[in-house]
Amino acid sequence: MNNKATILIVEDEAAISNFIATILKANDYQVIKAGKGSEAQSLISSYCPDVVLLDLGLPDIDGLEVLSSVRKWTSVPVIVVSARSHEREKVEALDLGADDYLTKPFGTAELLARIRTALRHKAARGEAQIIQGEFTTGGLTIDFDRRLVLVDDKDVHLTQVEYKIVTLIAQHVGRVLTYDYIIQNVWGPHASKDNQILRVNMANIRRKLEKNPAEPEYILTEVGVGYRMTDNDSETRG
Amino acid sequence: MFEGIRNWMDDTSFCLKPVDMLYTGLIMALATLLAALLNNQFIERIHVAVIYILAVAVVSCFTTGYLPGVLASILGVVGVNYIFTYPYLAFDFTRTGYPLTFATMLIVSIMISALTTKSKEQARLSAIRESRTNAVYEITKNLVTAGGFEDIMSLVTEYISKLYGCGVVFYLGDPSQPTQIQMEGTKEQKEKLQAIEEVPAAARAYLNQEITGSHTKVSSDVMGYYIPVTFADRALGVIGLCGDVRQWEDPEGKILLNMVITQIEMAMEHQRLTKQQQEILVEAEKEKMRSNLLRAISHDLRTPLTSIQGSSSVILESGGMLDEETLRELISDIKTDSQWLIRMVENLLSVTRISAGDTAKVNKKPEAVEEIVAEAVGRIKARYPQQKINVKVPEEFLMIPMDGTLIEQVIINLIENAILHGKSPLPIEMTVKQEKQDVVFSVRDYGEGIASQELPYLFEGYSLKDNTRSDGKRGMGIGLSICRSIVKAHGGEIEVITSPGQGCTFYFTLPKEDTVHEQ
Repeated sequence: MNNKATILIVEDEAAISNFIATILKANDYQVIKAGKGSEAQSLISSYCPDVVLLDLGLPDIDGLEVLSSVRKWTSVPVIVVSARSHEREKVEALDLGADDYLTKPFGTAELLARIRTALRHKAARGEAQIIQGEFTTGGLTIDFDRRLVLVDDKDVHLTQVEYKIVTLIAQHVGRVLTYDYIIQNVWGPHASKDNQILRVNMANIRRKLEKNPAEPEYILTEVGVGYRMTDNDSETRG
Repeated sequence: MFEGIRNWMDDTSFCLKPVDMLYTGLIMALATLLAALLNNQFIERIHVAVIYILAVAVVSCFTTGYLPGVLASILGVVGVNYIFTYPYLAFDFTRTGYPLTFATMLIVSIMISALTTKSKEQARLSAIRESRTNAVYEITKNLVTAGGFEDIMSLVTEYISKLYGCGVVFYLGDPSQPTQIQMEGTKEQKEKLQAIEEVPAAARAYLNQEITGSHTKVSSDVMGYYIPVTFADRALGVIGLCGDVRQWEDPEGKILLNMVITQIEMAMEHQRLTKQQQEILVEAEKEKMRSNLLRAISHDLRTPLTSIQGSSSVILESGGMLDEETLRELISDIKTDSQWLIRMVENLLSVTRISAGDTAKVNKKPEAVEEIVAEAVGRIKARYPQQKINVKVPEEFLMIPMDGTLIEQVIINLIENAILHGKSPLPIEMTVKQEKQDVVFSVRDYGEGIASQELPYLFEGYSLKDNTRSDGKRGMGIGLSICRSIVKAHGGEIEVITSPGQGCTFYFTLPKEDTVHEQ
């Protein structure tokens, strides 16, 4: 009966580590704790956890270093937890291969939602990426086979590039994608780093998909970082 | 004025110029003609000498230097002897009385010419002195009112260039890595001063605080003449001249140059002190703002921390004696207070983002207005799921330069204030409008409004008196004062329109173009 997902908490503050562990255990996850970066590295190799919650401010090694060394040999989902609120650090963590990030302080609902998203993507990673069938979140449906995007069952006409962006974000539903990541995957690796064109395309998409562009339901902005598609799975922020 | 000095200084007393020779010849010829006409009929022969002496005086007046006068004197003596005395049209200085007569005539002529020339020379020198005094006076006058180093430098280069008709370069700081350079003069002069080998000579003047360059002992192989500008043994910069060295190397010119340089040094020191003083004032102002903020915050933090500490120790010490409902209440109080603390800390983080840079300017990037508004509203909705908010943004896509996180914080603070203090069941309206040069963000609530006596202190953060503030209103001032700091740092304005019972509208503007530069 041991098919509970295992979650490694890398956090040097005992109080925070305790409260996260309590929430996770109450939600039927198995929990391992590490207080140091070096400990985390060995625990990841010996336990192969399903998700790693990695705090960036560790006493021995910088969390970003742990992340990049772990990324060399495993694709285990890593959710970075950080008190650093500057978006540049978030982008850096995401570019180093973090799957998601949480800024302290965060709510329990948010934490659980991110872990569920990470687990789902881990499961999906084994198979080929979903580019067939249908994708639905709220009133938005993407029919990959027929290249159709529907909002509340109404056909929405998107340009080639807009369709690419929407499907890319949909494939990573619930996760934030950085501007650079989207640009590279839509316009190719040699595209200009200037994200203006992406912002303009996104504004057009918003006007086509959302009822009110200032209160988007499907594609949310993470200011200074990138975009995230909302998950059916009660997305909460606080 | 400058022209006069220059022309006069070109002349020297002991050289004979062709134009002077011409004058001398002409005047002497006229004198001879006049004497010939008057001879025999009106005057006695010997009086011809007087006409020649007059001619010598006239020559001395119209020519420069001693030589023309002397030459005219000799010509006069020769003329009288040759033409007007017996034997006519032949030289004879030996007849009785002649040596005395002609020697006297020669001496008188030379003396008159010397006196005339000397008085002219004196007049010339005093005119030069006067115009130089005027020049220095004018520079001094203008330097006093100069605003900033740039102003001083352009004034100085322009003046010196006019004064000596030379090319001028002014390096502020070490010439090898100057903070500023100002040049004046003709294109050719400027090119000379810009040559590669010039800079080391200038740098040497700066480092050793000595005059270097052409016609000096140091680095004399370059085109420019470099004078260090120092104050109290501290080098401030270097002035380089390129042109006719005689202009400023002759004693008078040198004194003038020294006077001008001294004026420049004083003006620059004055400028430096003024600048320093301003910086100290700005720093003091910042420090004051910070300490006010700190005071207000520590006061505000104490309340929720006391409540958290109290509630949690009650729970711990009760030993399970509390009934379910009380326990729940205490814990939810802890949660509310800690959430409030979190928001306060978020605000404080924004403040550090503004003051992190030395220039107190924010790090601006073009951001989509609708994205910022959407994220702010999203966060508010997560905190207050029951609250209704109507959001309106312009149909056209707007990208304006801002620090997105900070502006988001401003919007969150304003909406949160509207929710907490407005207490109205009607939805809050968040609107963005585009104007000619600005984008206007406004947050409207239909609640209690703000009493007019509170308005002056609204954005100050710390002036709210403790007794006028209920617990529910704590932190409002700080939030708004942070909003104001953020908006001001962006070059915008924040204001409120309110009347009691009518609700209030907070609005702030952001310039569309990045026009805020260092002041």
